[in-house]
Amino acid sequence: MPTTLQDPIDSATGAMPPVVDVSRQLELELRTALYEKGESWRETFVEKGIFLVSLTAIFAILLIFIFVARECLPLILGQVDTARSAELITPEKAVDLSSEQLAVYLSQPVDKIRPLSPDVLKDLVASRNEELAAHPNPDSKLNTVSWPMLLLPYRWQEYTKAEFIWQPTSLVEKYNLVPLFFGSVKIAVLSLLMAVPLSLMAAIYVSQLASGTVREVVKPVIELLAGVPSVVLGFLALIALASLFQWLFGYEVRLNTFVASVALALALIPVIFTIAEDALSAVPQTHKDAARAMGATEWHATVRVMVPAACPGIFAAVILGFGRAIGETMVVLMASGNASILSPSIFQSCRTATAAIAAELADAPVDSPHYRVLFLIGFILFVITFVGNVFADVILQRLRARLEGQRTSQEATS
Amino acid sequence: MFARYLLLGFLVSTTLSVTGLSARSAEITIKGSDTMVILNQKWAQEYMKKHPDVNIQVTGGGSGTGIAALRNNTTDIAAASRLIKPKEIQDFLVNSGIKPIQYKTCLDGVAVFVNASNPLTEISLPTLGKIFRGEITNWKQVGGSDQPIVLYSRESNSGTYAFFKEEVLLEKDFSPRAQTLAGTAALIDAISKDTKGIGYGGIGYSHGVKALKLRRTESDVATAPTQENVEGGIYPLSRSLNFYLNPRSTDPEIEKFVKWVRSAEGQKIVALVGYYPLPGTLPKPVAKTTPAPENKPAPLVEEKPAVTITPAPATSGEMAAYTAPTPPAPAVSQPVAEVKVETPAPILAAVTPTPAPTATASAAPATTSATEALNALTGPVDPNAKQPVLSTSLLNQFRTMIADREKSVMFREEAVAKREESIARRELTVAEREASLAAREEKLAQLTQK
Repeated sequence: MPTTLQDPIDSATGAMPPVVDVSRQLELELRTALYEKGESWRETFVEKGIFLVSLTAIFAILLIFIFVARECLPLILGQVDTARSAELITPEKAVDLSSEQLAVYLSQPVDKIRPLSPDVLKDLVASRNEELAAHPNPDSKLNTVSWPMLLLPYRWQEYTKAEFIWQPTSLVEKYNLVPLFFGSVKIAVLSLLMAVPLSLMAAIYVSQLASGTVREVVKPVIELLAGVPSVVLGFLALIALASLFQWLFGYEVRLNTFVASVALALALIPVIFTIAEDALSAVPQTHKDAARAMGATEWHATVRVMVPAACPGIFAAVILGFGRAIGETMVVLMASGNASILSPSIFQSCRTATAAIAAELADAPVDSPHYRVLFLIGFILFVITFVGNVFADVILQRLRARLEGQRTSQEATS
Repeated sequence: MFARYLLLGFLVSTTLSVTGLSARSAEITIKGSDTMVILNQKWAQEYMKKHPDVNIQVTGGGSGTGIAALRNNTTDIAAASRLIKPKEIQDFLVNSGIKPIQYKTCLDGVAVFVNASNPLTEISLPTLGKIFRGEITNWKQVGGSDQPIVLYSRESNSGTYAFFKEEVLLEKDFSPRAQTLAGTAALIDAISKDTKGIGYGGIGYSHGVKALKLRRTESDVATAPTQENVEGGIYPLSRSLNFYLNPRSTDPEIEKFVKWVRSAEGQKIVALVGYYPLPGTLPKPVAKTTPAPENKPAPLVEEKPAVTITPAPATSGEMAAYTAPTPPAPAVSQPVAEVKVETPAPILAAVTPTPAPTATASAAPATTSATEALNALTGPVDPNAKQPVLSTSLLNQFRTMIADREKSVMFREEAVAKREESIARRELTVAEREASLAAREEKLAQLTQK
């Protein structure tokens, strides 16, 4: 006759199916014992708490994403239009027109136009006519926030050839995003080219080759650099570095990409160094000992064994550095010169996407096309870093799998 | 026990400080132009010293930022170094249904700066426009040494940026190569270190750099950004610094403050900070005891700076007005008799609403002093009537009033002297210009002969 065991936790719900497995039975007994001792609820409480905390982080990121996306969604869907109609409406005629027609003419939202009195409407139309009559420009019929205008070069009035132009406060507002993102990428790449070799070499030296006392001094000092606020670095670049480099290299423009990149590299070095150094230190010392036992020199053991073993961590450090470089605002705002030009020269000024947001958002009226374009830039930056992180994670996983696979095969052969 | 006293003391002091804060009845916020921040702070300091019950908060951020804040109803006053744009008026109308109220507070010249080592001393506006549009890229093309031009500009929320774009670039785009800096001080610093640099900013900042003289056209006479040239409107890049008042904030203290800013007292501070006071700012009205001067039209001096007034006859005429039991008719004034228009004034139309107290006057010459007139007036009245028509307190009031008035006459004489000086200067510049014209014509004649 089979014995039926009652699950002590779910006893209230009624009969349970029979449990035959012995291990399951043991587990149940154990859980009962823990439950009776009151351990279980405490554990679940802590677990749920940690879960909630991690959930808020996810929730916050989601909220940021939703907010930024909501502000630029009308632009992405093509609902914002800066084009102005050709024919004039006289103030007297304004009263007879519908709110919708007036809203288009004034480029204002309809629900704000509707409650206004006829006198105010007359004033509005008169003011609008004054604005339109001041400087007639055929380009004013264009919708400058359509996707081709945002991404492709265009030959504007008073320009001699098709160009990528970012001039958001102009008679005809020009919102080409290419110069800004070109500037961002240019500065990020240049500063990474300076920061990555320096910080990786420093990390390898400190974690593998340096003596104990040297390490005790150098590591905290480099990490102290992370505590310098970026506005201080920007100030240093603006006042001291710019003049110094101009004197050294004799280039034309005092504030330029190069100066900003050097200051930005100073901000990146501690970030990359710390993570890379941690990754290198995390490789077990036994690897190195084994390599030395096989007859490898200290240098060989480090370069051929330790660095490849720490490769995933080093890669993560570089990716984090890239994220910081793209997102850094204050240094580039102060030191890059902020001229939105497309120039391959590293001794020319550039304007980054983040600097444009920081400098112009305060001036852009809420819900205006300029405001929405700035949020679009923020959205694109968000997407870039998000995609970059996901991409890095995938590569990291593959790298780790390959390394671990190699290690096991080595173990098998030995 | 001691700790308890400490706690008690703390509580008392906090409540005191809280009530002390709440004793400040009016809160005024000023936001906007970075050019005006220092000036606004000085005004606020002085005004709060005089009126401890008013609290004024000043922040910068740029003219555009200030006007945006006015639209969003987060400030009482927007300081702007440019005029409000039609687009901004529309936004304002849509949101509130009323237009913001504009007051000019002082004058400023936008100067064009180059490095101190630059050999150039003057430039014309069209050439300047070409330089900032990127059509001229080498100093050689404008008479300097052979090196590229590096442009320094301001962020687009700056009122100076907008003003420069309108006046010099004629609303065309800046060259994309122009570097944008976050403030006039940063711009001056950059130019002082860059021999190839050129930039623009308020004249109050010109330290360590050279301000160029400007010509309206190629053939014009170059003028430097000095006080006379800015006040007279001869300097091409003269502008007014403005306050825009939020019609939705109705606190009367705000209007009082703006009035004070535009009075002689407020304008003194303007000169201290390095800008130029409004033309024709006379000492503030002295007679506050009677409403009479408020009713009188007195814009003569205000509207035409190049006008001289003979101040002497003012007192007796005014006296007649004060002793009359009914408010005086403003028709007594016969301004044509005393006002001598020297030159048609080339001015910025800056109109001060504070009325000049003594601008109206009868044509009768002042033979007796004011006190004598009063005695003569009160003398015969007293013995005839049992009750004196003029009580002693009223008499005293009159006496102080007369003293004030005499003071104001003195002030005015000073002002007239100043004005005559400035006219003389202006005539000099006109003569200069004529001389240069003559020289040019001679040259032309020579050329045509050749």
